Amino acid sequence: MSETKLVDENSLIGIAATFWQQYSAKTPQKLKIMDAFSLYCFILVIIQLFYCALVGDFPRNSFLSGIFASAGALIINICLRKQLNPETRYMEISNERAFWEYLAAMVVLFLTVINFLG
Amino acid sequence: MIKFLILILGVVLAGTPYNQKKVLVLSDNPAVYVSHSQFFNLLSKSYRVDYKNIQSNTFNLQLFGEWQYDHLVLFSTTNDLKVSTQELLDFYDSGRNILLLGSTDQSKYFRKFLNSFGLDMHDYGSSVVDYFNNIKGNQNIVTTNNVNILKVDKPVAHQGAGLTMTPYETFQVYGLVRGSETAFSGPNLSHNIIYVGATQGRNNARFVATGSWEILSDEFVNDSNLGNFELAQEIIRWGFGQSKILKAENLIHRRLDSDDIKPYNYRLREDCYFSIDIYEWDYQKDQWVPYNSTDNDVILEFVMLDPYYRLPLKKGEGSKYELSFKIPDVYGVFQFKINYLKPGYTFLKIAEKITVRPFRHDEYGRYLVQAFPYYFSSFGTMAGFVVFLIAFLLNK
Repeated sequence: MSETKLVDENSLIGIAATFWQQYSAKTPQKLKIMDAFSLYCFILVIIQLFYCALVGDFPRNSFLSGIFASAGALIINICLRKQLNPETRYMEISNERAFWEYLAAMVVLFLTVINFLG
Repeated sequence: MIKFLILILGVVLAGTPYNQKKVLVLSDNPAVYVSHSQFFNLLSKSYRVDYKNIQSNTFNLQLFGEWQYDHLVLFSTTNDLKVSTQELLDFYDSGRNILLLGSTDQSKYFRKFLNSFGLDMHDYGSSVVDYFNNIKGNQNIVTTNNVNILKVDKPVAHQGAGLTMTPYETFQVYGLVRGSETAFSGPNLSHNIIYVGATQGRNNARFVATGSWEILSDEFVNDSNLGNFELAQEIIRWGFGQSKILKAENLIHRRLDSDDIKPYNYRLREDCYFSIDIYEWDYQKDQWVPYNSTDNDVILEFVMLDPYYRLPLKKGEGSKYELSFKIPDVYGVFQFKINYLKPGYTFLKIAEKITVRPFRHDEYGRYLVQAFPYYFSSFGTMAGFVVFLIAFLLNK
């Protein structure tokens, strides 16, 4: 007898539930922490765009630097996550090297953002 | 010793008639000296008058490049002058004033001469007719109350032809004495007929022309019911540059809160203060007195290709006209312009250039409230990054 399933696997909710279950089981802890940071940056981008749509981008420099900070951090994070996962890595360099590059990129990003923020 | 005596003589003579301006009166009919004797009396009071016959060879407007006379009174003739129209126009261009008494039978020379001043004489043999405003029922001797710019209280009498402005009225051509509502002459009607017209050139030289000799003749000037005597006085004063002359001096512009006059440049959105002194010549007191403009009509324009502001200057104490305003949100090279073209007065055209610079990079606003979400998100990203690093590195 087949196992009873709580949700239908082919509906949208089914897909989301399956995804969540597989994700929690299969991804290592470190990648989950990275994903949490990426999600946080993404939410910040959404909040800023929403605020800009409401009020307009008056201090345009500040708007650009805010978006640049959060979206840039998001992208750099995604790059490191791709590199760290053996299935999706795109360059043959060691993990430590990838992490140092990640740090260097973030430092440059934050320097730029602070300069442009005024 | 001789030099000292000459100096004393010069000082003494400076106040005497030898220092007055010279007027040349040209006519070809010696009867004019009798029929206009009051007018010439008025002239002689303030000027040195030279009477010459138009056809004679004994006068020179110009001698070795210097103008011999300061003003000119012309009685028109049926013939041409031996002086060319170009020389008369050069006389006018040099800032000297001309008074022309025309008549309806004047030659084409004078008609063309009138045309270069924007005035046109009526046809040969025409005369202004008015059945209502006239003297003793004679419809050819017309009176009018329509006098602009000059101060004449009583009606002015005129006999003869009139003038019109060609092709239309501009800011330079004035109809000093115009016809009354019931006057007509051929196709021209009422206020379009001009008995005394004037043109003020851009160099502020004045040209006054009348439609006939009779308006200044003794017959009308001696009549105390008419205003022709005052008109003669006013024509001499206004036409020869004694009344309604303006002068502007001492232009000051500075930042509102500082005392440095005419700074090197201004910045966007700064407060600026502008002031200028305007004087009018008072011929009775023989000095410049502060000008009183009625109803705030001296207008300052703040121009860069187009006027950004056109604001009336406020009258301060004495002769000062001043204004403070905020420079607009545009940078570039601006000009303060005053273009005062009040009818009857000399033209005041003043332009002063200033530069307006944009903000320096440290003059922009900082810590604006509108930008708080962006500040918070930037630093929030960095804080989140630090937290992430700690969690990532400390995790086994």
